[in-house]
Amino acid sequence: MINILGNIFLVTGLLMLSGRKMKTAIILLAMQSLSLSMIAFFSGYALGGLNWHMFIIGSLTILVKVIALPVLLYRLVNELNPNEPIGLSVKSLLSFSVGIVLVLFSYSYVVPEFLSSIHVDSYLLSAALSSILLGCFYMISRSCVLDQIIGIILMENGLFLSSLAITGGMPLIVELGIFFDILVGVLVMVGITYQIKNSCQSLDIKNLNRLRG
Amino acid sequence: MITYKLFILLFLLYTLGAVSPFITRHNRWMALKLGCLFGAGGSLLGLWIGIIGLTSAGEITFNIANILPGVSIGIALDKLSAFFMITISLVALVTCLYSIKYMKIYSKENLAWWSFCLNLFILAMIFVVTVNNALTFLFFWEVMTISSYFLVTYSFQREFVRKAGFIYIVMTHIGTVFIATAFFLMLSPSGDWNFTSLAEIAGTLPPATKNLIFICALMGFGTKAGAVPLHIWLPRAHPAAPTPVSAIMSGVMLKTAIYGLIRLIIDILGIGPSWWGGLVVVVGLVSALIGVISALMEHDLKRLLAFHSVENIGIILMGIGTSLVFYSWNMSVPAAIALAVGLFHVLNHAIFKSLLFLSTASVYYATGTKDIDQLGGLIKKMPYTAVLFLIGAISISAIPPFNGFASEYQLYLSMLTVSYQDVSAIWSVGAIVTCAGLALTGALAAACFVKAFGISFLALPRTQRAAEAQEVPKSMIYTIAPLAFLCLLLGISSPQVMNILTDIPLQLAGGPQIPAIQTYNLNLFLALGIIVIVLVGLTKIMGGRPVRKTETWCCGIEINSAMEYTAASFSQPIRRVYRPLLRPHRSVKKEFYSLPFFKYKIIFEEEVRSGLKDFIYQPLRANIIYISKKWQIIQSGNINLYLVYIFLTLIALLIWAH
Repeated sequence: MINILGNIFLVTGLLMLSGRKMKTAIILLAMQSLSLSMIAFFSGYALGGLNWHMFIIGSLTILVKVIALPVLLYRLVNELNPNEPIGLSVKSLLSFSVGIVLVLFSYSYVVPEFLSSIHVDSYLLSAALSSILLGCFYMISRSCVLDQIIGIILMENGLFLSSLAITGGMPLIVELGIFFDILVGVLVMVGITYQIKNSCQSLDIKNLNRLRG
Repeated sequence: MITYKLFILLFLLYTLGAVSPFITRHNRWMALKLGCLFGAGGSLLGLWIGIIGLTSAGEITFNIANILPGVSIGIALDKLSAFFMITISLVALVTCLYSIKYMKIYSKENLAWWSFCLNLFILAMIFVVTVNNALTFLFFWEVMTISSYFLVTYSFQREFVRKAGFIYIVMTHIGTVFIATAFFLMLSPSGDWNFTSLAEIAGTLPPATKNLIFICALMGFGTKAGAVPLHIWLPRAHPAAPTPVSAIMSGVMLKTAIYGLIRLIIDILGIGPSWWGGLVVVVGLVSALIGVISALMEHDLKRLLAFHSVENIGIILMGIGTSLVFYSWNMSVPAAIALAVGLFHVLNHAIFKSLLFLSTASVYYATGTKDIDQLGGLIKKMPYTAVLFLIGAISISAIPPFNGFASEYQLYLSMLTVSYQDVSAIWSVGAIVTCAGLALTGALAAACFVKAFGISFLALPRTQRAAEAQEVPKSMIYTIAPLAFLCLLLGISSPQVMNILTDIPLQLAGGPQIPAIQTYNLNLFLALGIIVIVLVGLTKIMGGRPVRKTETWCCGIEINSAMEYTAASFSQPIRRVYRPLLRPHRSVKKEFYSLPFFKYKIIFEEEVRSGLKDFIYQPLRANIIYISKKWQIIQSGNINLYLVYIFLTLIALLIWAH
């Protein structure tokens, strides 16, 4: 079951790379977060009985990453970027193939060769690592400010899953700190997005090129 | 346990000294007084703790607080730490008391901020010399650097002060990089930063790594100590700071680097090949000579004293280097004596240098200038300050019976012992040459202080300000007079002091008991005293011829101050002798009105160019800027591209780290 959820996690990430529409990407992100929370619930269940730690993590994931952040981003897209065409730095077919290469890279090389000392029963670690690389590439391949935020959350999901897979959850206070961190981080980024929109009349990050010293 | 409580009390006193001025910051005078008095109280306590540490047989250790998991502020007070603690506390005590009156001339500025930085600075220095953990050492090292940076840039309204502060912070951070590297190279995989576990790791390292650590330590601590060619911040930062701060920086902050060098090399790293010691001696000799020759060219009293700090750090390094040479030859008795000589000079330099800086502060307080060409005749207006300055000047010039002579004499003996060992001709000849260099240093220092004292205190006042000078308040004289007394006391009681100091290397490196050291300093002093008394008595009894006091005959011209010897003319012969080193540029211009013989004016200018700046620092700076410009291509401004850099690095690391 966990492997199926891991696959959902991976596939949603890949599909995000191939799509052009931002709204689709946000929905896919919410789905990925949902699978992340399900993984938390299930691994808690597998550890035996009702595991409060995992339960809290799973619920928080649903609350923050499945509901709060996607809703926030969705409203932001409606408000700021109704139909503005923003080009991709990398064509979508190409970026999808790069995504597949990255997934293969982490499944067949990094995890079995490089991280072989870490024993994880399922493919969760590979899925997590792929998601980190996919998130980074997502940010590279798009030039809209909002896409950068989505990419960050995608990477964060991957990091969170890897911590879940390796250690079975960090101390609760650290987990809470991470949630708070991503929430505040996204709020600040949203604020800056408004700022960029106001001063550049556009959300294209190419406008920021002349900021260099 | 009493030491633990005293240490906590010391910490509290300095913290109070740092914080309480802010509470009363609207009353500047009160803020200054609180800061200085708490600082003085803390220093008094530091002196006491230091004496406890120096007299107790073993090492006193305790933990103050846990700051990070696995890292705690642990104090290990052995004799070396205790000695440095005494030195720091002594100078800090005098300076804090002195500043109560002196800092009044800064009454329009933010004195609360000054008190805060000063107390933090002293506290950080005390922690630097007592902590037993490399991580906390580096932390307090940085606190010390940053608080002293804010003290240097206290008068930040002036441009040269800001520039001096910038050079200071850049140079010391480069130094810190080297120190941190030295520690990192010794770090075990488990990441234990304690000095004892670093020492265990260091014992297993290959010689090449040890050499690298030694070079890093020498460069890192050498930058802070002001060893040539890394001293360029020193003559800029010291004149920029308020003078009491210069006294602390020059008197003791430079010494924390000496402490670090001894701790890292002798205590942690262990003794290496003999070229280590040789290199330290050479660096010391070059620093001493370049320091003193540059000092001779200066007309600003504080810059002059700053260059003398370079010189004296050089002398201290010569002592430490000699001791390293002896240790590498497994001769622990002369090694211990040589190290004790270095430490003795640390104490002596701290005392006479703070005495000189604080007397200079008194001159500045009375006249408002530090330029010796604008002074003159001060001995008649400010006799007490003149005597104090003179005692400091005699001490620093290594003239008996004062303390500068006591330690340098012991250094000569250590050097000559190297020469007698018959290890190889290089060492024998090298040691003799070093002795000659040290003698030259002493002679040039004497020349320099004849200039500094003669031009500023003797003859006629050159400016209105010097003519109107008045003696400084009694409290300022009383606070620095004990330093002058210590100069004499340490000078005549050098065997006793040396016998205490030889216990320090014994505790650090072990070895047989050191035989008691004998000198004739006391007898010499007594002989001099008796001769003076006899001569004075004879004159009284015999009754000399009556003395006639009239004006000086000067071929009928009225005497004025323009006829006096100036600082530039005094140092001219030396500038000429060391022309290849100093590269003076001279220009003489004549201006006249009608014929070349009437109403003419000669403008003479001679400036000394720093070879170091022209041949090392300028090209280095130009190259760094050039390379940076070339590399600027990768900074395109495109965020996607920056992300690509990160992404490629991540992928490369994932592939390569395997």
